[in-house]
Amino acid sequence: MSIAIGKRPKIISILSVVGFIFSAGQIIAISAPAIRDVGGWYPMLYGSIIALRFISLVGVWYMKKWGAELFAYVTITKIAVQVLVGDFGLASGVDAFFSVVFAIVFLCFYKRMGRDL
Amino acid sequence: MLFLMLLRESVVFAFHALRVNRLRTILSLLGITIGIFAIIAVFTAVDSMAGKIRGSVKSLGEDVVFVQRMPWVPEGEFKWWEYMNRPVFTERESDEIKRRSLLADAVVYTANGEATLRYNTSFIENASVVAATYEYDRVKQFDLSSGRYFTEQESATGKAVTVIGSSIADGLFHDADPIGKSITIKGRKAYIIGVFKAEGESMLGNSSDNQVLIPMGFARSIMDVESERSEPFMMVKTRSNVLVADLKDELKGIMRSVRRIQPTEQENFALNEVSVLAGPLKAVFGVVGTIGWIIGAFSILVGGFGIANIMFVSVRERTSQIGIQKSLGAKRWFILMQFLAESVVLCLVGGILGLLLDYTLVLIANHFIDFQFVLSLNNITLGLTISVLIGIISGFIPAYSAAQLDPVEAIRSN
Repeated sequence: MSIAIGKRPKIISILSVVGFIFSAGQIIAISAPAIRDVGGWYPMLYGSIIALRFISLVGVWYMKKWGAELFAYVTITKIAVQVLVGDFGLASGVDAFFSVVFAIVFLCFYKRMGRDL
Repeated sequence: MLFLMLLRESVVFAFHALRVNRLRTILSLLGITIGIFAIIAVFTAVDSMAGKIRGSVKSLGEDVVFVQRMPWVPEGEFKWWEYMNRPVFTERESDEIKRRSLLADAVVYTANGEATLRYNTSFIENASVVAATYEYDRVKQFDLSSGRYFTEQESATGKAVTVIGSSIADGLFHDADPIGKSITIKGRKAYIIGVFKAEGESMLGNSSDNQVLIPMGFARSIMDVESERSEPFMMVKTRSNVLVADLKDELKGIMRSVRRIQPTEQENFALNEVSVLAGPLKAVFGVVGTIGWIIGAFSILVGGFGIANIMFVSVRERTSQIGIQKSLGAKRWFILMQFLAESVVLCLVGGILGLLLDYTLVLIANHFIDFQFVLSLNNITLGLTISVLIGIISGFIPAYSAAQLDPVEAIRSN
């Protein structure tokens, strides 16, 4: 079951793996009391963002343009949502900083990524 | 339209795959079931208790200051011997507060006791008797299921009337209407003019179900309201737009003046408010909720890894089938949706089973424990949301790898 993947730079591999680990941690946070306290609807929105970010990382791992694009959009959306609902603390700030760095690195390799699904 | 048809076909494929491997399906969704069950069970318990506290706090009054001998939450050591030696409150002090306070909306002087209540041959022992001045209904929130509250005249003249709790009414009168009938309290007859609406157990122990409320004037004829045994205290309600902290400052000044406490001397009274009592309880439930969340979340995470593993196995088993589908024109996203739907359905079924277990537990708990647990819509939605998200996250990589397969190599794999 070998899958043909374009040559993936090491930095993308490292950042994707770090991203996957953080996503696993954030899955746990979906049901955190702090997230529930914002509102009954917020875990759904927050969870959707986490799921989309995970999917975007899969895309980046397979060197797909849609992965980098989706990661950038999701990062902006996540920051905007957290600021709007007042859920932007120190941890969110650190997460936002690293997400922006990740997005910039991913977009640097945008030209080398594939266009198909 | 075509997309919906293909999506439907993906889901049908997914259900078929799950039906074919029943045992594997059941075993793999158990992790999610247990995780959702654990996390929602804890949240249901915590939310139900927190809701009960909120209700109790509301009924006691969030804008009420209780002037008592002992503090509810002492600063430092609990010096009970010192508190016990403090003077009891008198009705004169209550009148002084009423006269001097600019921030108080209502002042109630209240005393408590226990008595055996009798009606014909029925009796209830050790019922809680609450004696209060007229403004009690303005300070404490309660509803009457029938009848009325005292009039100011009845309260002032000490007429032998009473408002009884729902449990007292059930115990003495069963299905009969108690209004207009008289019960004996400490040897004196009192006419029932009202019945409190049933409240159930209170987290702060202030349920009116087992209480009889009598006017202070009447109470003076059957009990020594200003004795230590009656534990008299005052409840002072703030005017609207006045902070409880401001009222406490004012009450402190008035009480020190009334009791002639020197500036260098400590107060011999305590000013309590309900929020102080509710805070530590909420903190305890917060800790319980966090522990439950951590345990449940890790169960779900482990369950998610289980689902991902099963999906990889499923992709490997059906590699040649994927190859045939692709060679017949199936698009990558169709293959992706097919496996993603399988994973989401698997997790969703697991989540629904977990929620059903929670519902069963709630029914059993409500039957055996005198407490109303509620499986809220918020928690049901949370459980389903987590299930779907875990399904998407744990199924995406296997589904995507299946979608990327080369049809020729996939067909040749077997």
